[in-house]
Amino acid sequence: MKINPQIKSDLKKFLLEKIQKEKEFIHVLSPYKLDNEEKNQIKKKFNNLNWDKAVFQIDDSILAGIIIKKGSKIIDMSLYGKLSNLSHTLYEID
Amino acid sequence: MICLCTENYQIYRIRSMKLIDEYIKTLEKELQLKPKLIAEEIGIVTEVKDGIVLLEGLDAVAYGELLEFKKGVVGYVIDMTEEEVGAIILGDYTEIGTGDKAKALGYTLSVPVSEKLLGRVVNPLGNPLDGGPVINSKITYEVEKIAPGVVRRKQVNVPLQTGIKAIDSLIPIGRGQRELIIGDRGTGKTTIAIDTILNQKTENVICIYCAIGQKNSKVATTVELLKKYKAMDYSIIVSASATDSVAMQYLAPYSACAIGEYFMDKGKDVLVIYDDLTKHAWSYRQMSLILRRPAGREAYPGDVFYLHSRLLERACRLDEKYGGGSITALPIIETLEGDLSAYIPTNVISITDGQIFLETDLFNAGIRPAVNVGLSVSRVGGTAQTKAMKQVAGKLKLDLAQYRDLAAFSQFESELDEETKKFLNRGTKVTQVMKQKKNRPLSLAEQVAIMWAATNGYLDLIVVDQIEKFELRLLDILKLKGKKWLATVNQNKILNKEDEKELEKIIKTLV
Repeated sequence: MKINPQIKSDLKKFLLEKIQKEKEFIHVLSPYKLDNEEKNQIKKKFNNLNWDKAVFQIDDSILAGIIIKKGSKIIDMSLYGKLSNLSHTLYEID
Repeated sequence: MICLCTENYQIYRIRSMKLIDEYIKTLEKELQLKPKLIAEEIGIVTEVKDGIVLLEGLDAVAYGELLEFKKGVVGYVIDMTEEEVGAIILGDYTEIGTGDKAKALGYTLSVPVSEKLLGRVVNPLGNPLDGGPVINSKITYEVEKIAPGVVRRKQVNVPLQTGIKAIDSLIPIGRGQRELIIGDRGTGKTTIAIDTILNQKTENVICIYCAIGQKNSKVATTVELLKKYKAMDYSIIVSASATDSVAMQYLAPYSACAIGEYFMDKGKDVLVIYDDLTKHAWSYRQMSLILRRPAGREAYPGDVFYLHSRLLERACRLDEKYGGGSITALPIIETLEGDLSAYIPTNVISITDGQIFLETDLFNAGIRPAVNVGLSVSRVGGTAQTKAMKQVAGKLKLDLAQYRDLAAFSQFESELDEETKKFLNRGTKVTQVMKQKKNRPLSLAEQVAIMWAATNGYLDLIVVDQIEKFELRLLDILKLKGKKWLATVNQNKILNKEDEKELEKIIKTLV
């Protein structure tokens, strides 16, 4: 099946725009549902970020702490991240 | 005795108490520090190819920045498009799979440099390959660096003695010059380079031999050879062999140059040999094709000229104000059937300050080193030649040029006049003198002595196949009786009238 190049380029454009839009969102991962007070504390701490478009997600694989993502930028404050850093350091010493 | 022991014990106790106190203090300090919040740049691997990965994300990464994959594997960003980032992997890329995370490290690739590198065999990242200790150094040099500008440079006018008669007399190389060694396989390209290293023993030049895409066995042989002649004391070998990934082969010459720059900045003279740049171009071509860059002539990418020009431009001679060091580059290019007009040879010929052209026919005819004197040039030329050498080599060049013209011409003529016969005779003798056994570089004075004998007609009466013997005898006698003469010429680098007279005396005893 031949794909119409016009459709192909439109589709690519659409996907790129979608990714671009997604990049404006801030994703916050936490192991449990954060209550409003916790959310406010996080917002206060990172007041340089635009919190109008924020998504709070639950991911219990990070064990404890939170991870904040915006586009390709990531602030890792989770126990999982710390532990994997530690295992990496141990691996290097070995 | 007992009293002494307890005293020692007391001192020991006090010392260890102090140590423990210090530990506790630093620990307290560390605990008081608040955890740093660092925003990391993260990318996700979408494709893995031979030595190259493509990643998504990494919006704010820079060209040439390092990436860290899991288990500490490091990548190097060399390609960025609208949607993806391409990186070459330095190390084991079989560990990386799609979906893996990569973290941008925020700095560019650099190699650790120190005096400890001398005598070592390292890979392009500065890790030892000779089983020796790891090279620890606080100083690191960036692998990709812009070459020094016009202000920092100085004219090339100090000779770099290769110890090879044909080169030092006819195609002189200066410190800070870029001289290409080009020829087919098996014509002695590497031999010329290695002989040059061997000759730097007394010249206070640091030699870096960069092996790109070579067989490991060949590199091992080279190391053995250099060790045998005790040349490893002032040499460094940077090796990315045929088994290493193309990424390593691509980085090897830049890394070798960065090590050279460290010594140059310390005011030393450095010789860097790139063996060879054809394989370097191949590795870059492979990388570029995997990255889907548009292919040009011979499937090389568009920036293959810049690939070599930015490397060789880093060879230079610094002004005294900036330390006065230098990097001399001897790139090697392998041709196919003597084809100089292929893409990479023409590129590198135009970048360098001259070339030494080696020919299979000459090699098979027994003229070794197989330098084609007609096609070889050095664009720095006489300014980078000692006075003593200039005195004898000036006549030599003329003799050889006349010989070449006449030899071609006289093939068709049966009867030749005396003058022509004389020129032809002189020419054959001088050609004989240019022959030299490998791994036997000669000092300046030794070279001058032999060439003086040739240009002044002392070899005219000797049969062609006896010339080698004569040369050996001359060198032996010079070492026995003319030690003083050798020393003065090597030191002053000038051939006085008195020196000439003394040399004449020695030669006359032989003839």
